[in-house]
Amino acid sequence: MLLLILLMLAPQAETPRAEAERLFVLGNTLMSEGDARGAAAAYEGVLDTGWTSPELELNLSRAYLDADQLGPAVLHVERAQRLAPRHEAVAHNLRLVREHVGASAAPPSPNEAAARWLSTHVGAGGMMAMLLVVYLAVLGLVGFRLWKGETRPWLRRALVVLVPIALVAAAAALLTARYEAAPRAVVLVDAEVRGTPSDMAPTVEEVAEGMVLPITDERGLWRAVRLPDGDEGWIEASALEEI
Amino acid sequence: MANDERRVPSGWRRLIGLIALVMWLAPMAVAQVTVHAYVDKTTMGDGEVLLYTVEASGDFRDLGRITSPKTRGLTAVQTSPIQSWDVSIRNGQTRQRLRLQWQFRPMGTGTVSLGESTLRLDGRAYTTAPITVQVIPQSQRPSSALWSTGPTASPRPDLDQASDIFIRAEPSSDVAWLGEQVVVDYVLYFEAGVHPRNSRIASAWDADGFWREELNLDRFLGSRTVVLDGRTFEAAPIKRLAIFPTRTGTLAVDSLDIEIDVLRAMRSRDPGSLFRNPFSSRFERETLTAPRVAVEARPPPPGAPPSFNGAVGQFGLAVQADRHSVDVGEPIRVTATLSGTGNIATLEAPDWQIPTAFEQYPARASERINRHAERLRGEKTFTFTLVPRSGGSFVLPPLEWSYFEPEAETYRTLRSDSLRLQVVGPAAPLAEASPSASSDAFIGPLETATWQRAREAGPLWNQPWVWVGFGLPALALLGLVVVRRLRDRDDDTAAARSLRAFPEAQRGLETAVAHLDAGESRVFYAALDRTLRLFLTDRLGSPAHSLALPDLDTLLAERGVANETRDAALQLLRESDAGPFAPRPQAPPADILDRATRLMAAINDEAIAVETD
Repeated sequence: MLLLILLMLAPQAETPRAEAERLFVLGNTLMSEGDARGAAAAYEGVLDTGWTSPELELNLSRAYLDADQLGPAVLHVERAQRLAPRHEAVAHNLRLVREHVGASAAPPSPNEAAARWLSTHVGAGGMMAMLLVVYLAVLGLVGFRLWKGETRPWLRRALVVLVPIALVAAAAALLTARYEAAPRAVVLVDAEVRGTPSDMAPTVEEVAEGMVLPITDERGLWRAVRLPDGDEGWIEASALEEI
Repeated sequence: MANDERRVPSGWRRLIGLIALVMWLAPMAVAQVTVHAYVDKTTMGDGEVLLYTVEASGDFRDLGRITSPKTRGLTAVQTSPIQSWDVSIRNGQTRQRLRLQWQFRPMGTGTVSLGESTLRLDGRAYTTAPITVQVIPQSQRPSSALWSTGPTASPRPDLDQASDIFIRAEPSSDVAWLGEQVVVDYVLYFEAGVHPRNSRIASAWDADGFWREELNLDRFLGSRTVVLDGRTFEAAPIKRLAIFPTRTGTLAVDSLDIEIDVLRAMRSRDPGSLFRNPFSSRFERETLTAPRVAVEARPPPPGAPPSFNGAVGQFGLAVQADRHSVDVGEPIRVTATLSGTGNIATLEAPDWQIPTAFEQYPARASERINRHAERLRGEKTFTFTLVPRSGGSFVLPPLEWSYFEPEAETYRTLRSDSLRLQVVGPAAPLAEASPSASSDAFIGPLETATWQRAREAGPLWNQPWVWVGFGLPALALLGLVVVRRLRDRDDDTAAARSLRAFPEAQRGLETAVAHLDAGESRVFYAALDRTLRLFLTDRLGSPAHSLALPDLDTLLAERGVANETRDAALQLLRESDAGPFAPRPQAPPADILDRATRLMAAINDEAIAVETD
């Protein structure tokens, strides 16, 4: 019965993927013909099928860039980087597009810098897996001790080494997970930042299309963002797209 | 009470009045931008230059296209206006002041006019009123009314003012930052009745430690009247310099000798006459010396940004490329124009890191210096010529250039937008998925994709595998602890029962004795047997009550009970076992209770001794 259900579901799962691949090829063809807007539409169609890939997001970013839509271009290359943090082509385009936007972010705190490095090189999942291994080892040793009802010297030495490692790994995994979970958004169009979430509030700053800002709060159709200088302000949600 | 009733409406009236006032003032607060135009003079000589200024102030962001004002009877000295833009933030409100200045020369005498100027700010048009200026022959220009923009510093008391004519150098500041502009005016002071003309420098002159630029006093600057130590002088600037300290320390502008023809109205030989005799006047050549002046030059403060190259003043930066799409090998010219007030000649080109895909030629510099302003200002344009060597989309990084602003005593960094260029032609051999670090072209589109299901990637702690991975082992450990505790508790129960066995057995014997006293010998034996077996069960931790005597003997032996004690136990159990089944009730042996008591005490001691070991 289960096999029958799987057989029934399999073609339904593959059909969108075939459609995704067809649209992907179509987008590439349109790009080669110089039709960046058409290519962007084709690539967006791929996303509608429920399938994605770092390469698709990169190509979509490139198409928007050629169509002079910097905000969506930044958005999709950031998404590509989220899908594949160590993809060289993605990292390359991300560096270029960030230079193009030119917005200098506030220098990261040591914690942020460490979290960014861990996120790029290991990832929150990798950190959590490492933590799990150390955690299981510690639990195993503790269980052994409880069962035997005695503490042997080698067991004590192993716990002295492993427990601090587990604590450090837990802190690093939490830091990385929090960094990756923190919502960030791309400014899709030049927008005004206001002091309070209201059209009537005074404009405190303007942010340019393509800037990436952390979201710190939301209220109705307004999002609170942290600006590069560390200040916070409110932007209309329609001007942002979460990565 | 009546007074209170009258007071309430009065309060409401005040509140309504206040609301009305706020509503009346609110539109005025919203309309924050003001634009107006003015000229530096409304009557001018035909040899003078007219300065026309359009000034906008308020909160605005975007400046539309600027067009020169329509004029009648005037010709423009320059085609594009000089812009100055100040931004200030007060109480969270941004206020800007934009000044656009044009210079015009009259084409003749008569009435000339400047038409309306329209400025588009944030998409809204602001129009200024037209201005009319009267141009008269230069010879008719009244001198005293003209020089209104000259130095206003008070005369220094240390000057020798014994003469009726003298010159002094008046720097705009005695202290300057390294590279800061100091304007030095050489001002001729003369008393009434003294008519100077035809001045010229009469000696060699230097200003060691300064970069020196002459400023033109091409407008006819008349004199102003000043009072020094109770004497009235006319003061007229005859020379203006902009000097820039090139090293720190106390620097001096040398004294300057100036020859000048002076006409003095001679007094009448009649001492009693109060009138001057104009017919007895004559010009005499005199050499006047302007004393040296010292300027203390300070080094710029620490904290200079990396792109600071020593520029001091107020500047703006504009960058543009002559095209944004070229073929491979076709040159692109990018111009970076620095404009503002300061030492224009010494401004250095911004350091620009061009992508390696471009061949870059040394930047060419050209400058335009405006010496007619109160301070030296102008613009310097650096032209970068780039030749792309491969096709693709490129982003040229922004140019950064820093200067020190003396008025604000802070460094400011100008940053242009980055430029995006499309180069048509064969791309460099850039591997699709392995870009070289030196490449600055966007990669893509990529031909192959690694597909995955799009899903909302929530926080990691929302992933089930994390909870399973961490929770299950913890539960297993918890289970282990529980099992261990239960086992320990079982052990504790057996021990407790063991400890309680003997006192309970003694109570069982007392019950048996009660039956014996009542003459119920069969019941006595049954009670004795139950008491013995329960004692053995509790004490030995095994169900002795169901064991056959040989098995019980074996169990007692395993628990270390001595042979004599075991034999006595078996004997007593046989007796108590047989007692209830005797053909008729028999009185039990008199020592049976004593034996039972001693037996249980012995087993209690011996079995305990075995467990303790």
